[in-house]
Amino acid sequence: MSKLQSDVLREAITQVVTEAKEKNRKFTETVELQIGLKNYDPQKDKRFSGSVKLPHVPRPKMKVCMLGDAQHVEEAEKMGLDYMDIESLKKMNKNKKLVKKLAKKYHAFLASEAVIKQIPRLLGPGLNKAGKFPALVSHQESLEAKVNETKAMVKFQLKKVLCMGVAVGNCEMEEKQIFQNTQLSVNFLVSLLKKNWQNVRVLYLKTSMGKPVRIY
Amino acid sequence: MAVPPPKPLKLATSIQASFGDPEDPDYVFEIVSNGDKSTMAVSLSTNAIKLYSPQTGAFLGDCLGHTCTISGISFPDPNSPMLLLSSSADGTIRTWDIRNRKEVASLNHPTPGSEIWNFAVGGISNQVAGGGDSQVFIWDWRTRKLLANLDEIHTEAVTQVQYHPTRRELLFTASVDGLINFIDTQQPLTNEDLVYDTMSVGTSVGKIGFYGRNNQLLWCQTHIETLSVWDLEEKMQAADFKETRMNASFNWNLDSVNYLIDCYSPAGTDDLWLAAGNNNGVVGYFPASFVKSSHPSVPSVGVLGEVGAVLEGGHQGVVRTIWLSQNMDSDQNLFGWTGGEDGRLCSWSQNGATEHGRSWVSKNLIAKKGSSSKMRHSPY
Repeated sequence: MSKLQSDVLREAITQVVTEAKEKNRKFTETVELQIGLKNYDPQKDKRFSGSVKLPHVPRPKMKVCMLGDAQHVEEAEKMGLDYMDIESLKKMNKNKKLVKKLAKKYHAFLASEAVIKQIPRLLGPGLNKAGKFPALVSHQESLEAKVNETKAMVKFQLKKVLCMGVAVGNCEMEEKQIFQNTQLSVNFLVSLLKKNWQNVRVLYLKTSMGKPVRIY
Repeated sequence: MAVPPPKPLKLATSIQASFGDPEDPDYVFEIVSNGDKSTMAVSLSTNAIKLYSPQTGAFLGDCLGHTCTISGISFPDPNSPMLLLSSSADGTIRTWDIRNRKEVASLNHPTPGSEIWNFAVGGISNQVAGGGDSQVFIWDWRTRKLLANLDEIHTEAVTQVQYHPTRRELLFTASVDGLINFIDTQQPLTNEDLVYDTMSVGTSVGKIGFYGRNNQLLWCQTHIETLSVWDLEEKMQAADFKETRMNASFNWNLDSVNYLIDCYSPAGTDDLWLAAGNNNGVVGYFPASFVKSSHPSVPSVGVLGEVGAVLEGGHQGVVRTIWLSQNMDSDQNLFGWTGGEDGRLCSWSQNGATEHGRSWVSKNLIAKKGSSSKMRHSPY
């Protein structure tokens, strides 16, 4: 059962989004969920890390590149998605600088089955090193859906301190969408803690440049 | 499917391996045994390793020396049952002689003060591999020389390193970054010339293991408590056990499954059993199966079946480790030992074995067992 009160969360979302809009920045601010834990010992309790798929894309401007076979390249072209075919990957010839440049240009990569298996041989470890090794996309699923799924994934990882942040939305999203993303994230993260809500000390919502607002 | 283990299992022995503050108890992390099954080693959150007899539960001594959390223990060589190795967040991999419980050798992280998260002994030429904060290390076990420091294939903590049981040159590494790499250790072990493959799990990986008739399959547990199976010939995901905890919960009538513990496959079969538990300390073995997908790039949906064995009444907290006796000749009744975050070690028997309580065994624990171990039928 969720202990996150809907009205408190709704008010907090309105507050952080309104404050962000009052001070117009040159970029779209991200809405972040911050979690403080208690009764948790990073030395001996299980690792708290992973990825979760949100119902609504929190970072729509995330750039994705398709490393595709002929069919996927054609589909990518049709939908205006950046792509590279196997010939252009071969031309990079494991050149570290070029691979690094490619990795920097995009937030995430997708790859066809025939391409993904050749990545270590074509590109070397550059994408591994950048933390951007592609996700597989098959011909049995919609490329567009896969791109959205990739954009909707957010990572969380607790390190040596008992607090961490997760992106749950941005200031241009509908408040209802931020609400749903936050609720799903909170419930999912709490389900991974052995004492559930008894492990949660505090929850805040904040925008990139704004002040944190307590929601639990 | 193979014949499931009998259900439910009977609690035979319960030992408090370590006490700690009741508000902040010591944990049992891992149980392993040596080749002749004469000794089991138990790692604890106190940075100590304790040794016990799997048959009787008798305490045999401890190995003390680690100064930070122990991340892995194993008896690597079946022909040297006295040699125990352990890795730790103190940056060492230590070798112990369990006859006198003294440290006989140590491998050190090249950067003092950095953690080692896992280790493995194997390969063609007796290597020790270690997982660091984003590095994979390979040492020569005999000369203790560092052969490789690979820091370009992972970006986060390397939680698992394992050599393939039959293709011994292949070293598998898994990480919080969501990748599983496998390295050909017979090729040059430098960042530039490394020969390897990568499989993307997409979320932080906790534990992996080989199984199948030809060890052609790999099971993978994640820190978000999901299970998947990977085909090592295709280098692709073979099955995805979506909503693993929820599906396990549907297959027993006890409180919801909260976490995955380990997987078990009878040697030489394609059968897989998932051990999962709840926060009350109850563990179940669930059969995990899938139908091979017709498209290699589309993983099939894995299915968990009705619980095969239930280990109830032993633990009062999260169960972290299971050691299975697997037909130990001297005591065929023994199913195995479990250890958990309540600091306890419990042994389980397959059929009416006599309970042997030890002086330090809590009496009310043994008494508790009778009432709760009856297997109730699934509601549907």
